[in-house]
Amino acid sequence: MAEFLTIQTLNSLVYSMLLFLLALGLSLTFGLLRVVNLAHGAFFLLGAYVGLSTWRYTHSFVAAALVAPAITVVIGALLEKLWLMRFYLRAELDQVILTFGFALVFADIMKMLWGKDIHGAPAPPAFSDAVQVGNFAFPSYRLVLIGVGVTLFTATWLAIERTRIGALIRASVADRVMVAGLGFNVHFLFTAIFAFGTGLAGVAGWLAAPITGIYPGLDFEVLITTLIVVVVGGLGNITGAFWASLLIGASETYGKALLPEFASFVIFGVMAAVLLFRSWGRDEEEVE
Amino acid sequence: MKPPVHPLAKRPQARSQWTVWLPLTVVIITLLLAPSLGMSSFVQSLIIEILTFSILALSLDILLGYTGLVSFGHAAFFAVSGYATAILASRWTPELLVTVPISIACAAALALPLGWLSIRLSGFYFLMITFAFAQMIYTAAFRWKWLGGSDGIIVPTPQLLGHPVLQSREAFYYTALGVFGIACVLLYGVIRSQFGRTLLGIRENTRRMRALGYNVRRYKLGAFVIAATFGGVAGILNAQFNLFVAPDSAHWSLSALVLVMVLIGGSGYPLGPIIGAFIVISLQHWLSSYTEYWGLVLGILFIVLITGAREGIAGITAALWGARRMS
Amino acid sequence: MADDTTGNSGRLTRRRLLAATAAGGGTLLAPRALFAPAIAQSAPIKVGVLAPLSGVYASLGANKLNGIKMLFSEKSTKVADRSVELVIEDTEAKPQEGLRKARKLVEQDNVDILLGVISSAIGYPLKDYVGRAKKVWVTTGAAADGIFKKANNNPYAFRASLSTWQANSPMGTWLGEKGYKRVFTTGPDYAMGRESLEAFDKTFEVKDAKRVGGAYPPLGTTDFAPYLAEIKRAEPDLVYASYAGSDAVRFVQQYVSFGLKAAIKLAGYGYLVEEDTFPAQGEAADGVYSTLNWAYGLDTPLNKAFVASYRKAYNAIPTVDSVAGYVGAQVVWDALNRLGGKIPSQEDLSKAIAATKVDTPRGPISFDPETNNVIQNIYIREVAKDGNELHNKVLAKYDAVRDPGA
Repeated sequence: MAEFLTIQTLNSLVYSMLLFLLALGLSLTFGLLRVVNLAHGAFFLLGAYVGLSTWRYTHSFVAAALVAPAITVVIGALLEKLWLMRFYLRAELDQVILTFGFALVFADIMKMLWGKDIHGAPAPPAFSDAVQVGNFAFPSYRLVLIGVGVTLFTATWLAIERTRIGALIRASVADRVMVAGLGFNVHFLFTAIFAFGTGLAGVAGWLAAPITGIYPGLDFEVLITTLIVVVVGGLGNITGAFWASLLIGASETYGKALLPEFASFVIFGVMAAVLLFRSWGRDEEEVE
Repeated sequence: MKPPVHPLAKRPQARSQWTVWLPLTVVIITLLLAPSLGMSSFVQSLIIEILTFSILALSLDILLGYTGLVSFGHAAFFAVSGYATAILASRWTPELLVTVPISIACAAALALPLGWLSIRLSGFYFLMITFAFAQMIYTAAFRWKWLGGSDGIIVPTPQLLGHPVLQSREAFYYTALGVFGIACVLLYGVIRSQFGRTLLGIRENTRRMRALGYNVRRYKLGAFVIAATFGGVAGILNAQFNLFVAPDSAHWSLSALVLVMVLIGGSGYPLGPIIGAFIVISLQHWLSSYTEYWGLVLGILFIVLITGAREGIAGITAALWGARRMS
Repeated sequence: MADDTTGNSGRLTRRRLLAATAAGGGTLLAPRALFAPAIAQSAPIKVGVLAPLSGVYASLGANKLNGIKMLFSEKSTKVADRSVELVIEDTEAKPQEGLRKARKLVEQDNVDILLGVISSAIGYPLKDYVGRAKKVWVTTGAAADGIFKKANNNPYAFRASLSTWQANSPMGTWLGEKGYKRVFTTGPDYAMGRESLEAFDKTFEVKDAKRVGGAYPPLGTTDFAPYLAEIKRAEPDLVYASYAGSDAVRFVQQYVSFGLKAAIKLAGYGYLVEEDTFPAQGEAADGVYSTLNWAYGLDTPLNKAFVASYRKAYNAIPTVDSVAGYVGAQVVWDALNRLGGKIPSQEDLSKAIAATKVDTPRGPISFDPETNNVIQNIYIREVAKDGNELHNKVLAKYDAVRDPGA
């Protein structure tokens, strides 16, 4: 029994970190820019495909892990500069629809470029074996993911909360006119933030690929899960996203193990419950 | 005490009656005569689908265009009434006098708890929770055997007073046209009533309406239930037409499709959703014979619409009309 | 890592596809080319093809279409003095759109026969539709058991692919005979997943063999870890899995990475380890048993020729879907030939199809008059290395398996 609990806890941690990796980029974009980027899943998948092609060419996991975000950063920056920036002052729904449109477009473009078949991605050679946990073999790559997730969270949080640039970012989101008046290039900042978010999505795509596989349709599957995590965590709050990942990771993993019939409902139920709890007794416009 | 006259009550309504009813009547009369003038049975089936989705889009617009609530789960009601019809018809009786009222009631009944919970949120959160509810319904329909599971449920031939009806394409065509006409009359009645105009006020500025003393939540819930009910009507039509229901009818891609119909046609305009349904279905049908990248086209549609033509076709037409009248 | 097979996608050869191979056999068919032969006097035979070309099943649909096109380009493009014209439509693997396209093909394009469909959700209503519209339909997919039963048999619908029961039932017998006693079954929680495991269970659980556990994750599960822990806990000597597509890739990969493969034998419904999953699964799939109505390595002259031509024509490895398309087209072509290219009525066409007895790359097939489901061989396969590729080789064969259709 203890072993079962250990294994499932480890599983839930891995799954949580996977979720967090996916959710971080989206949470950042919304928290700082107030933009819901429904093309997030597309950037995730794009990162995975780019990583795959890079790996095929170089046979280096690390090289792929660097090229993937590089490409998604560039494309994210282009998207923001050419299109999205005009939408900052428009209604939320408009941004949602715009980014959803881009998600559909990217999905088909990726199909044209990489085809419709399913691809597998390899774990880095250093971590392709398994570690003994009790008498259970646990793939070491998954343990690595836990480390990566925690590191990314800490690094991002520190960057935003404790550095000067982070302060600048937070200030320009709170009052962009003032910050612009102080002489900073706010437009560039916003582009940089958005691109950082899409870069995170891209690297997450490649890092998760050894577990998820790479195929058309993965983008929307990931998007849905990510949206739920981010909504539960409180849009725009990366600490919230971290805790939400842990909560959802645990409920999904234990849900699968203990209540398999209701597994798929768990994640929606959690989100609905959290949303309603937050909104109780308040006017709907004030729910944050 | 009567609620005070609110800001939008003074908006002129007279002209819109002309611009709505005239073209609509012309269209309906043309469609009525079309089969006898040689409209093929396949085109009739396309029209039936367009009429069905017009009703669905109109119902969504009550929420989107008039109350300002963006629902991403409207397919739920379309699916629920369709499934109610299928289950009743296959396991109890295919008698329309039984299945139709009960199916509509199911959609409305579901809207009460879902609406009651959803309207406590707004904006993006409202979108997410309506999405979540629809996904739960989709998952249930997909996984539970007693709901037919992933293979759906076959709907037996409907009966009226014990006799099989709607056996021919033409019979169904005229029935669909009739249902569409009635749905339009009722929905436009709602839109132009005091209730409808209050909804417009809520869309414009919810806080102010609340400050003016309106029970905003009650109106929102009312809009939600009305939208769900008419969505349910569309669902029944669809189930009887295909003689089949599948979990796909609750999938978010259908909610997205209806949303794009409303946006293309113009949300908040009476004829908008109908125009949108016509364009989207025709486009989808025609284009998918030439390319498998229909998603690309749909995505571009979304982008172009939201960037340049936010008000949709009806909006552009209205602007041109207004500009002409001004000059 | 195996080759990057993107050869099946991208090329848009759609809509009106004329089997007009003027020069040289085996060349690909030109997109939207209109064949106007000087010789042929009568109207072409129109075959309406329904396949999922976009959406979830896009890669399966592409393979299927390749198989169909290959058959029509291999054989003479003419039956008697009429040419065969393929009218291809995309079902998007959705019932609403699939039915709409079927109506178009039948009512607007007036096709002589319908071929295709993979999704069972489209198969159910389509069978009713062709019964009402009185149009013969040969399906190359739609494997759900309930679609072709004695109770709902109609003379217009035929299934040339397989039923889930048909494929999984012999495996239970075979694995039981091999000496496995404790099985853990697992599959995605929807019709195909459940039906396949039930069929397997019935023939496996005889004498003292039993099922020690089951897990049915939702379709599209990314992380099977919790279920793999369950499997370990139940201590079976065999795991029978019925995943397909991306689920199959992930399940097999994770099964190996959690060290289960070394300890517990893995077997499954053919889609678990098929030619389309090997590129992604790699070594993980090696040695896995499975059951299906075809194997790449099936050693018959017809199959060897098929595999060779397919690889040459498309620069891609044929999958069970490619064969399904090919065989479906074979059935149609064979029936049209026996009728001498004349289709006096759909009822005559139906009788011709029902009388089919033809040898295919999958072996000999015929139709069961009570259910119109195909009677065919089922093969027990094992994944093995073939040079530096992985393919299924045949370990055992069950002749003329017939779905009782009860």
